[in-house]
Amino acid sequence: MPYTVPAGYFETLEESLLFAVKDDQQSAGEELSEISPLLGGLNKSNPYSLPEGYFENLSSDINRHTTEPVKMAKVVSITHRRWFRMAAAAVFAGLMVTAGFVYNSIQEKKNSVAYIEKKISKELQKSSDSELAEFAELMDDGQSMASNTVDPNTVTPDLLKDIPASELKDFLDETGDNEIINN
Amino acid sequence: MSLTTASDSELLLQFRNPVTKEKAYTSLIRKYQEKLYWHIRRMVVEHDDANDVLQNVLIRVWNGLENFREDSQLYTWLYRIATNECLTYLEQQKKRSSVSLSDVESGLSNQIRADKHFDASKIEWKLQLAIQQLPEKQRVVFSLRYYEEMPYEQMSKVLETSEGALKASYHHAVKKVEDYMLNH
Repeated sequence: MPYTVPAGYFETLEESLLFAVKDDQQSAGEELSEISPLLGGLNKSNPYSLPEGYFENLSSDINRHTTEPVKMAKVVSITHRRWFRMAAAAVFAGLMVTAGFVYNSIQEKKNSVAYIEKKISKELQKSSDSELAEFAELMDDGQSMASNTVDPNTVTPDLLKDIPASELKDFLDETGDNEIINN
Repeated sequence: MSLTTASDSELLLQFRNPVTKEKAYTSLIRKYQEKLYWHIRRMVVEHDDANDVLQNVLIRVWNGLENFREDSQLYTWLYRIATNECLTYLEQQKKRSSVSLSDVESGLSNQIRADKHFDASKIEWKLQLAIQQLPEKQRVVFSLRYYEEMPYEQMSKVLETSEGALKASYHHAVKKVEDYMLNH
């Protein structure tokens, strides 16, 4: 048989059962003396030791676990920290410098010849033929007006006829240029 | 009446009042801490283990006392929690170490021998070794009857076992302990 029973089990079984069914109101001490006079005669002294003051402190230790509210961790605002403020200032300065560079490079690009040419060609593409023709006509008029500008070499002597000769002579003496008169 | 000398029913009443709840709980701990500690200590042997189990017991008491319905005595209820915590602790020890319960029991005997005050020639130490030879449930029965002198009726409520079965178990336990004492 694979099963085992504790040593002396059957020897004490009958006695144990008779003891169990006995309906009496013995005290624990009387009962023990009846079952085992050896144990009944022993002093129940406790050989174990425990740390000094253990029971005095136990209730306060337990109260710490049960009655104290859970302490919330102190909330420290990250924005109040010195290093954070310095880092924020550095990031802001960096952004400003970068923005400046970007703005300048855009402006330089806008002022470049290639950019202007590109813009003009875009505007030309947008303009109609009639507008272009009108513009060209205006440009021709401008050129003819420009060609009508006074050439000092063609100044006629009639322009000087009302000016007395002595004044002309003084003027020429001051400027040292007698080309006008020669022409 | 002061809380330190209050009866169990008065303590329960005080515990249900938010104003006196903490004081009642402290009084309850002071009233029962030693009895519960020694009941646990005899089961788990080491002080540190007994302390851990006792703290768990008292925290469970805090959490459950408000709903305690007084169907049984407070004293019985406390012992039931303590006993269940001990058995749970020993079961966990067994699982952690992957050894049989008998190995755990022999481990407990070794812990007794390792105690700095252990003296094999003294009968009280021999009695402790004899108790550790008992299966754990029989050890609970022996401890409650031999040390606490708890009436079978109350023990029946603590362990949810019939009085007759408890008497038979105690009789067996006493005989085994006696046998160990005579032969070691």
